[in-house]
Amino acid sequence: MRPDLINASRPLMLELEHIARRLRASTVKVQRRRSGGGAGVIWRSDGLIVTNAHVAPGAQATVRLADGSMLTGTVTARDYAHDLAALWVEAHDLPAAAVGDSDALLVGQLVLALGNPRRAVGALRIGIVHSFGRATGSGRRWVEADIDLPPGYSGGPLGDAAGRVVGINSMAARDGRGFAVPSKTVETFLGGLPRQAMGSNRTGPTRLRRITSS
Amino acid sequence: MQVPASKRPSSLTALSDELAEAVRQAGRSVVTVHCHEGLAASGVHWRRGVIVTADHVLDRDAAIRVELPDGSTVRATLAGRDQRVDLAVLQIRAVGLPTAQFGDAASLRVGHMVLAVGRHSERGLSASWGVVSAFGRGHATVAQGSRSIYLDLTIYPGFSGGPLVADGGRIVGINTLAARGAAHSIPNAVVEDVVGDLLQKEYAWRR
Repeated sequence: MRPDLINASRPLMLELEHIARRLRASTVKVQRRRSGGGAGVIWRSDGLIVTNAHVAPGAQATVRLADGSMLTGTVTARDYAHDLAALWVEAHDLPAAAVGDSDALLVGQLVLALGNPRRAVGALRIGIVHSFGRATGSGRRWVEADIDLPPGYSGGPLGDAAGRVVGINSMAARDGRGFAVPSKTVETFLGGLPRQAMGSNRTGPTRLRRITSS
Repeated sequence: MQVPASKRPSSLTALSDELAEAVRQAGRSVVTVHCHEGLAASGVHWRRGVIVTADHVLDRDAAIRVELPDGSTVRATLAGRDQRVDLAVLQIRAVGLPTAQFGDAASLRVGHMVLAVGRHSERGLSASWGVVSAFGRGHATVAQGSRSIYLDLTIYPGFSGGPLVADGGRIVGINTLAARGAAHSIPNAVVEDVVGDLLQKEYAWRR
């Protein structure tokens, strides 16, 4: 290997490794009883998980944390139009994701996706922002990424080059574009939920409850 | 909860911003080419008033419209087509549209990072990212006379006729699809020859 290749790329590789590790820590696996599942993002350390509506269609789902522990997630809100769902697990001090501003993204910027394809948990993919879909009156409808997302990435994070979550991966187009719900849309979704759905009336200590061993 | 960017200089963020800037720069001379209902391609403002696009997107000679970056649409006349290389040359009245800033395609090597840029009516400027995969006819470098640059990236619908972009946002080729849908690009020098040729003759349609 030529020395200048190693020198130029080493800081990039180290940063990518660091960012991937942080994103993985705040990415969960969301499983349904019958089949499949996808991923989710720890949005708040007190137990709020965000995923796709289509990943968590029932009242509950099993949530597997990065450290392997399994929790029961209760769905408190769902928005099929934007493919979002809010899940609560009984936990505290979870490693919440750093959230970025999806409105500040530019076409061409690097994006990273984490998901759970067959036999892997927290698998990384890299690409760039392809476009933002048709402009609407109320801001960007999607973040469309030039990134290959096989099944298992739905509900998981789309991160920017600083490792901040700027989208929730939702689906892949036939031509290979990955579509993510912008983080701005997630915040609007969470902000519009009634207080009960946000779990603010929960009291008392919460404990991690293992329902299966990892 | 918004988290501000770290103050520590970041190589990954720098690369990310460079890619976005390259798309923006090159995009200033990228147009959308509308030929008939439902099919659009990209095009590059190659010389003043001259648009280069992919030949295979043109079905009929009539009613070609070019949509500029500012959203306005102008009529285009067909100066010529070269089906062999898959290029077509259009002429427009190009008020205020920047011409392409060219890079040196001969300096490209297998493994160099490149971008393909397209412009779409609804989505606007869009991009895909990858590396130079190979050169046509087994040549190691473009300088040895290769007429094709093969790419490890996705040529999305509507990307044909758009530019291959290398460092500094400079345009080094025109993207199209080769046999079996392989993403490939025609290097600048080859495009330049075809443009010169087609503009000189009154009308040319080479098979």
